[in-house]
Amino acid sequence: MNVRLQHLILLLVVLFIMPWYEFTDGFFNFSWLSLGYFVAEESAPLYFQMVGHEKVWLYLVSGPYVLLALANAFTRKLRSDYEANIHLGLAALGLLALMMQGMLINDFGPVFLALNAFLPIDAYQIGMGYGALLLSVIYIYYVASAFAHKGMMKGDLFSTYALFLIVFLVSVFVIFPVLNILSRAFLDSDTGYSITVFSERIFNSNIWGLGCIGIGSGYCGVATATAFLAVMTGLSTTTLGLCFALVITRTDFKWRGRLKALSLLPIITPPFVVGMALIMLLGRSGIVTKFIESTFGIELGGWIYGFWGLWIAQTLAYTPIAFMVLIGVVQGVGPSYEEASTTLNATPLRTFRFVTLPLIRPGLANAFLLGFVESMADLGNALLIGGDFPVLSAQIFYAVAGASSSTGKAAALVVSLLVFTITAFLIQRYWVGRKTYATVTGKGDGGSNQSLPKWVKNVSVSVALFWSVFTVSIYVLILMSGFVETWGSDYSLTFKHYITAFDFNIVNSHLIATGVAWDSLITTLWLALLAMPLTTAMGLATGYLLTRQNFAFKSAFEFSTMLSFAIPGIVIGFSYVVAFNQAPIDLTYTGIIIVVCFMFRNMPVGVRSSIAALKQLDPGLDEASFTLGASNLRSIRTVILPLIKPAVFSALVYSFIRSITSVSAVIFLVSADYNLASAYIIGLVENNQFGVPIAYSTTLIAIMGIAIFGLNQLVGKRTLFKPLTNGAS
Amino acid sequence: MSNKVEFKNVGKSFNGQAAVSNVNFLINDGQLVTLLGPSGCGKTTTLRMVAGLELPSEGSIFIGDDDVTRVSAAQRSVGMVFQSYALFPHMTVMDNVCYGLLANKVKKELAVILATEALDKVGMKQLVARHPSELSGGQQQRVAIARSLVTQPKVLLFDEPLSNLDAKLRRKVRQDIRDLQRDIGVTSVYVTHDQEEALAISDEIIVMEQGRIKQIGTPKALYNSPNSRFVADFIGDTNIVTCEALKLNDNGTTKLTLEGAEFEHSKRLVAKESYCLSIRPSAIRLFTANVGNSIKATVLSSSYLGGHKEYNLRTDAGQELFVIDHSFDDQLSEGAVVYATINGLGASVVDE
Repeated sequence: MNVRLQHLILLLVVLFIMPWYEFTDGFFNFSWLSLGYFVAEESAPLYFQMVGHEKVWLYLVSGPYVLLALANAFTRKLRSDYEANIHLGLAALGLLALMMQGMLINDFGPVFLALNAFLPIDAYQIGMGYGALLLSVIYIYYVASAFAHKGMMKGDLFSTYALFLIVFLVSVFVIFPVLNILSRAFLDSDTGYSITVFSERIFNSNIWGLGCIGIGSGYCGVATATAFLAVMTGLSTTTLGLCFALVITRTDFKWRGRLKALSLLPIITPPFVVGMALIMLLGRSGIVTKFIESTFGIELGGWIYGFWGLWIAQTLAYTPIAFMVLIGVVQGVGPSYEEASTTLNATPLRTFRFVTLPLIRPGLANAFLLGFVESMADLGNALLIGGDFPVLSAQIFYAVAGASSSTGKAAALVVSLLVFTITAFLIQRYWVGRKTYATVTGKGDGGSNQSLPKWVKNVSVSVALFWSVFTVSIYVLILMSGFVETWGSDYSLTFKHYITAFDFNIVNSHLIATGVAWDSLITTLWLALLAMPLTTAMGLATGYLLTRQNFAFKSAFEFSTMLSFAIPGIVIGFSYVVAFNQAPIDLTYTGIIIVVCFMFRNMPVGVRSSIAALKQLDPGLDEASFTLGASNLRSIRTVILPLIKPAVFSALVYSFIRSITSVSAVIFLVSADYNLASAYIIGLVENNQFGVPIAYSTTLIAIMGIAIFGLNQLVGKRTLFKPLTNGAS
Repeated sequence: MSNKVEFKNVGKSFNGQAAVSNVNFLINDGQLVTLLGPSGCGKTTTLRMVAGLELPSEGSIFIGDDDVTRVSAAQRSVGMVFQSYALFPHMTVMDNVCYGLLANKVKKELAVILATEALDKVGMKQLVARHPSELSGGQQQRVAIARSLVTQPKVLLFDEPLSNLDAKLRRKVRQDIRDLQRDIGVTSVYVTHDQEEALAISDEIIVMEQGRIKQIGTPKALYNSPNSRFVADFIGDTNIVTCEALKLNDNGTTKLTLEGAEFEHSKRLVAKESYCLSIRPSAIRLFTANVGNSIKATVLSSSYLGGHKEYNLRTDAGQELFVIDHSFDDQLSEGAVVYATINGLGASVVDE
């Protein structure tokens, strides 16, 4: 289609067709689509809002756009930098107007009373909708095309547009809500914003107290306790992960393959399942507890509810993460270093102590920091077996959802949580990242790694074995307990929990789902599937920009896209609830807010895997494609994507899995219409029900297992090299 | 239409650091011009600016009569042979060669015919169904050339195309490239750091150092009259020495002397002044007896290299000289006393 015509058609769509405000009932709900929608105030398009509903400030929003669209439709193509600057100015003005009017005029009218002088009486507006979204995207397009014309990214419009879109989305959906929540820590509902309020809330012995170790008086503060737990978890997961990595890469232990497969199991397990299993084993009415109490007459009570339970559960849940980091690091130690050490007559122990260990030290630090951050961010286990042991994530949850909810108090807790996680993130990036020894050079190193000292090998194998037995028994327990009448008292066999969860009937050849789990399961899968391609596309685009393009503020851009790794889910969830429950963006009780949350929570995974894949791909390949006359988009589609297919698939599957297993990010975002499996299960377990949650969790594990298996089949087979033509001869 | 390539005051900086500055040259239609220089001299950046893979920070670039300074690589109609060949590993040889045609909206049937023709030209018609990983380095390179030729580019670019081949093959392939280029008559820019390669194939050579052009000229002109110490040293081996101009001859040449060995220089210089000269090692002849008009020197080291012999000498004044002897004379041993004469044709005045 004629490009000029496209600008015109889009102009008409924005002005006269797309409803300007509110995704009333979700993005894919088109119930507004009735004849009267042009007229109704909630759903009228931009033009009718301005003319019919006195939203005069929207003239400022639409004016620059009308000019730009007409200019693109009727005048010659951009030629000089001067013309590009005019376009850029108009687009930036419009975009700014669009954002400012959203911030300044909300459901209750103007934010500053002074604005009333310029506005009609009773001016107000509700959250933005399709029309506003479309116009933002169009404005960003005009900004990008002006910059591309001025030579940004070698004049490549596709990359420039992708960059501006991602920056826009990350600003709106990560930076804005988080800054917004941080500002709440300064806000008192009576006195307004002040530093005093903030310092009273933050510098407070309830948070930082060191009483439990004898400094000052009273108890330990919640931040102190959380940090202690996180350090312990970091240490234990790193140690276990190292043992596993050594056993698998450096020994001839018989069951290496099985150990490796086993260590991946927790990835497809929602983290709270481990907590649940611990309760069933060691809780007040757990089988081990009951057995010991009845056999030895010792009263064990609820020791597991608190620090010990949390520590064990988190160690079990997060060891695989440490393992996956460390196996790469241990494999990366080139054999020649160890061989050099051996030829210098060093004993295996000396080699391990003075060569191997120092080389993997940055990897150990990295694994520790990951375990530390995961522990800090863990909400599921904290809610289930945290007991009286105070941790920040759970305290934030109670401060928001509890009886005496206080946004300000929660925001102060968020600040302390972020201090830890962002510090860990910065250390990881700027200290560990720089320290890492690149021992894998381009040329193959030949030779084989030296064997481990005996005692290191023995310790590693026994630790790994013990851990594996523990893990296997927990999974067997979970599987079996789904088929047991009542855990703790009646162990007769039954299918009742599965039936309660997943029952369905066929009435008049219609399928009617009567099981209690269907609703949340279908919502979960649907939203996770919806978020999957979006997350992956955004991750790939970001990875592409970071590896293949050069632009100003590139490291700031990379930092901001990776930052959401360091923001615990509970913080994201909480900040979304606070930021997106009123104009300009009102997404409460919709599925959109959950999908968006999934996207930005999981995006770093996609970014990392695409960066890893693209770095291995010769940049000459895309350049060859350009010089052969292929556009950027064509090069990506026909050259880059086929070659990084495995990375694409794994990004897809991991985003899907992480969406299903996430608890903390979505626990505030679920609603009656959009309930999610993880939140639903946690709710039941908190009421001491175990049958249905176990049956449900087992099903989730099975679904994710199938997804992983499917991925391995797809990627493993490598049917990637399908010829385009069959050769002429 | 003439497909010349012209750079006018082109500069390129990365993060404020100048990689290339003030580059001016004109490559005439159908010529093969080599960008030569040590690594990091800006030659590859210059080539990539011709391709449109880098846009210049200042100045303008013309291909034919068009200003392509801001035109993207995809629209420049240039063909490029990459150092790594950059053959698409997931496509067959045929798909690789068809790629550019299909991207330029050529019908598939026609594309296959044109691709077969191009592959025939490089002698790779038999292996169209193979994947790049199933080809040898030399074969991959021929496919890469066919792929860049098939779209009939205005300019053909080579980025160190021989660096991944072994030494024997290199000599043959560079001749093949030269023959093919002459045959098609396509304007070509060739990047290399190997001076022998540059001398062998170029119509003209552009010598670069630290982002600037040091000298432009035919291989012969560069070798025989380098204008700077750098060029003299980089293209072939040389001795940089200080000589004194004795007197001007009537025919416009100058008589020079180095430690008593006199020789004629083709340019007019100022008498009684000192000049810095580059004297090629083969322009020095060695005699075991004093033949007059020569420098007395001692052999410091001597190596036998089959076709020729190499000597390091020290003159009585302490000057070290490097000499290549292509004669069939017996090899001189270390410590031997020799008398060296200088052939003025192998000497040229350089700066500093």
